[in-house]
Amino acid sequence: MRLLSLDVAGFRNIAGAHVSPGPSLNLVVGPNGQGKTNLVEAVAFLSWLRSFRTSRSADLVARGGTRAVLRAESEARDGRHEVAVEVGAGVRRARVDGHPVRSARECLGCLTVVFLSPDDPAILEGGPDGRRMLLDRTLVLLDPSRSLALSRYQRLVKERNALLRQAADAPGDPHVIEACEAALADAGALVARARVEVLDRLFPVLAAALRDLSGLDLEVRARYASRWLPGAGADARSALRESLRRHRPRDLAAGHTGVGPHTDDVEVHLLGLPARGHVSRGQRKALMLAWKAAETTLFAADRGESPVLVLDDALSDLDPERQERLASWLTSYPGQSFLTATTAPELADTSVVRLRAAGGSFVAEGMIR
Amino acid sequence: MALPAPVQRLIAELTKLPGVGEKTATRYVLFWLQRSPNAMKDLADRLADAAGSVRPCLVCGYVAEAERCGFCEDPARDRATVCVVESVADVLAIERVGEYRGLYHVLGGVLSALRGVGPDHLRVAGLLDRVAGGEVREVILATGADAEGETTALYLARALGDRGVRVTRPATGIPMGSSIEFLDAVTLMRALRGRKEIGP
Ligand SMILES: [Zn+2]
Repeated sequence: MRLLSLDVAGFRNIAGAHVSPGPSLNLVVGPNGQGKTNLVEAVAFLSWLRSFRTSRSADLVARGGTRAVLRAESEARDGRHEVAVEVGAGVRRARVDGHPVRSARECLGCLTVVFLSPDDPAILEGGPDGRRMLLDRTLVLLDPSRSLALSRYQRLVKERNALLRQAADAPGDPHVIEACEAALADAGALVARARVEVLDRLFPVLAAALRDLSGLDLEVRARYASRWLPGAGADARSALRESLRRHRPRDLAAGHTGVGPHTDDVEVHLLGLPARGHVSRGQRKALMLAWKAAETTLFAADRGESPVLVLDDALSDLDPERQERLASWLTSYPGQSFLTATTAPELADTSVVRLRAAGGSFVAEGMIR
Repeated sequence: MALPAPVQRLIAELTKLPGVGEKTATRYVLFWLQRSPNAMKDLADRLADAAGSVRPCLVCGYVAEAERCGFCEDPARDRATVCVVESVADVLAIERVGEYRGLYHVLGGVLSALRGVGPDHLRVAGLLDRVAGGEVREVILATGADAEGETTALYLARALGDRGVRVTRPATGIPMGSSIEFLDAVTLMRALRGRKEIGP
């Protein structure tokens, strides 16, 4: 899967740019503030219909403008596709091959992007919500239809919270909250089981990628930490239903749902120690890179094609040896990739394309097709 | 010069229709205005006719010209089976398949605490009354496969739980999140045939 061409207009500091990336590694280089990150953000947006930097559409529109327009021509196993997106305050319209689409689920098949943002490594240090989001992204990447269960679950948590608040004023028909909890348990069990399944698949591959990227044999493990999920084989749906029922008095007082997949966590352990609080900046970066690398490997194993890999500012926080390892791993990546950097690493590979960023414009150097 | 106030009010009224924005509403109104002086008068008459002669069926909520609708009055329909749907559009979708021979019950929406819709806002009490009448043997819960449709079905299954009727839900092949109205005939037929009993 790869991007054949990309047109960006009115998007952040990019007034108008046309880029024809190379089929393998594309180095987006230039000083800070020239639009490197904005360009790769546009690439990720065309796949996920959202930015990993902001949730406000207005942030994406160039100063003084009203709309940002992104268009990509991609090539997947099933042929060529055109993805077009229009973003503005309160507006988010996307078309795939001319047909309007409403969710990333419908874009991901035509252009799948695995994206590493410079903020991602901090997820390992922060609260559980970041790690859940990280894992849910992996879930959807590997099976876009899972986004339905995820959004249904989120919707039902909001429904239950609204019921809890209404019940505080006037207790209504008890069948209503029972029904909501039953639906919530159905969706929640699906979500949690999928998370555990994906985590179990991801981590052995992640450990291998971490070895390649760090040159060290670091023992890395993950555990899905949940206060309600029973072991494999037990009925997750009944367990969640039971937990919700038990929690109801507390939840009624609090006005929100205090148990379920939206309170779970992913505990990452490096060399037997929790990654949270015990690993260095460089190790966090290497772990996140390995997570993304593992995503590409699993995706390729499932689909028979590699996703487009986008690494924004991946070299910083890595020592020179790790930088070199990453660069060499990237040049042997079987699919198309983008790496942003202030200074381009020395790479002998002739298929590498350099996109030099200056004031929101991009000039290709090296192999151009 | 802006359009006269009555025309603007009409445009504003039309934008309340599903899928109609201001642009489309304006196009409709200009079409009527330019067609003939009587075009709008004719439309107004049709609207008044419809408004004066139809109402929701007192039994099932479908569109009726009398107290009871055509389905409820039709002796050929199977009175032991009631298919519960969200809207009149769902009835039309199921009738297009042409296989279902039972009666309907139009809820008039789905449960949603977020949108302030509780059982009292839907035709739930009427459904329970119908079942209490004793003639009904199976209730098919054909609400949509989205979060609210699912919750509504589970709620009704509980509410009907101890009333001695078979409660089923079309399960096979309805993609998660879809509404009955937009399903194709083959999928809908399979889903109705493959309905499964659901417990409280
Ligand atoms: Zn009727």
